[in-house]
Amino acid sequence: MNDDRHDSDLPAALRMQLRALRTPEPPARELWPDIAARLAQAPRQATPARRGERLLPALALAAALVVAVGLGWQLRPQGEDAGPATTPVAGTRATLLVVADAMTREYRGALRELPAPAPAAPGYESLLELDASAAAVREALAKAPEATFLLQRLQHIHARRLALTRQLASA
Amino acid sequence: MRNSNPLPFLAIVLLAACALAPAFAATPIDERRDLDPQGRIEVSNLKGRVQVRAWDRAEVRITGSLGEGAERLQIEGDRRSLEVKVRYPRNGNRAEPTTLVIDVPLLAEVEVDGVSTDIDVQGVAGRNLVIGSVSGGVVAVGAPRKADISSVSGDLRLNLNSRDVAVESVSGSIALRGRIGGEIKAETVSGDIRIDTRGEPARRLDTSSVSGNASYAGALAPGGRINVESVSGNIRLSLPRGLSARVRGESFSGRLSAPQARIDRPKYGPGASFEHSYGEGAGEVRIETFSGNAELALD
Repeated sequence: MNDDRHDSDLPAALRMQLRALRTPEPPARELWPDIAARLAQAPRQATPARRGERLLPALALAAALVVAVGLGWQLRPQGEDAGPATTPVAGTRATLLVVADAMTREYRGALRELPAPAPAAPGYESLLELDASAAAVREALAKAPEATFLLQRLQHIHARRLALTRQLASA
Repeated sequence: MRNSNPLPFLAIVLLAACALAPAFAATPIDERRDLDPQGRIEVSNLKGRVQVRAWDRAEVRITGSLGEGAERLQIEGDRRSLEVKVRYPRNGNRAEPTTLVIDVPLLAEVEVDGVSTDIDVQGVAGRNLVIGSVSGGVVAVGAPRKADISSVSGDLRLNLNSRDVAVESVSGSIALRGRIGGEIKAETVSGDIRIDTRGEPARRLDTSSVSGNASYAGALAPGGRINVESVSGNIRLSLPRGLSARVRGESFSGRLSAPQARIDRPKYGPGASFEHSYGEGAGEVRIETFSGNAELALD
């Protein structure tokens, strides 16, 4: 794969972390059917910008990963003085946090397109709990910014939040 | 002197009538449809209860009661695939709960969906069992080949002898028992996860939580993989003494423990990690937390 060639000269630690980021599951699987259905229902005169907005959640993680790989590439150590492969890379810290924040923004944008569930709706408390958990994981990621599993957990929480909001809206 | 005032008597009658009103308002259900022994049935009930039981007939029997305010019970499909759905009017928030009691062929594929719905499925052994609820609890006992069960705030109480099981909740706790030899996947946010395969070696186990605790008691198939992670929840893995796996653990601020393993801590800053090979190291176990404690026990 091209990506493998591109990041072949990255430090091993960063390379492994970026590879780990390539295994997102939920967004493409969970978001697409609904987005596709809504695209099908959308008026033909919908502007390209509007369609783009609707595609954003499905592309959120893909974009975030591009950012991650791009930043990883930009921030990679240069030349032979870069040190051993296991040397921690300062850029990795920034990379995962940037990805986390970009992803959060995209999911929030997708949520704004859905009707807000009433506070009395069953499951509403769980929406609040998911928000609080997302904030807790983001906080943890700020303290341990090389923990890729936290980024994946954050992505799962956002995906669950979006799916539950959609479910409550259609109930 | 006799008291002829009828008011107290009338009041009692009125109160009794009010108390009994919902019972009279609910509409009894009694329907039957043919369904192939390995057919598929999908059930949807927004609020109330769904109870599914297996029997040895090639038909489905639906009983129970339709809550006041529910529009109707819709049954569509043929003997290969049936859909049973409680229809509500557009603004059906004030409708009373509906109870569905459904007998299905033993090997039927079953899918049950609800929102404020308690779901209880017992005895089915089809290819697939899919259950989803939001605030209702779920009980499932059976031997479907594959099970996919989720809730949001309701607890999951599952006893399944299946090949693969995937369970998910937000705040509801998950208790999964049964001989499961394939893949197990469990995910919660604050709910606890307890998995016990009764000694059956799973080929793959993945659990993840944010603040919920997770425990697994079972075994690992040769060359199998276990991947458990949590943010602040504690993790406990109980595996057999003869475990053959390479085990890696890592935590930012949690406490790690594993028999014979040396826990490495950096000279400066937080963090702890270990890597240890047990037996021939055929399988792979990975444990990761942020602040939760993690323990590997070999029993």
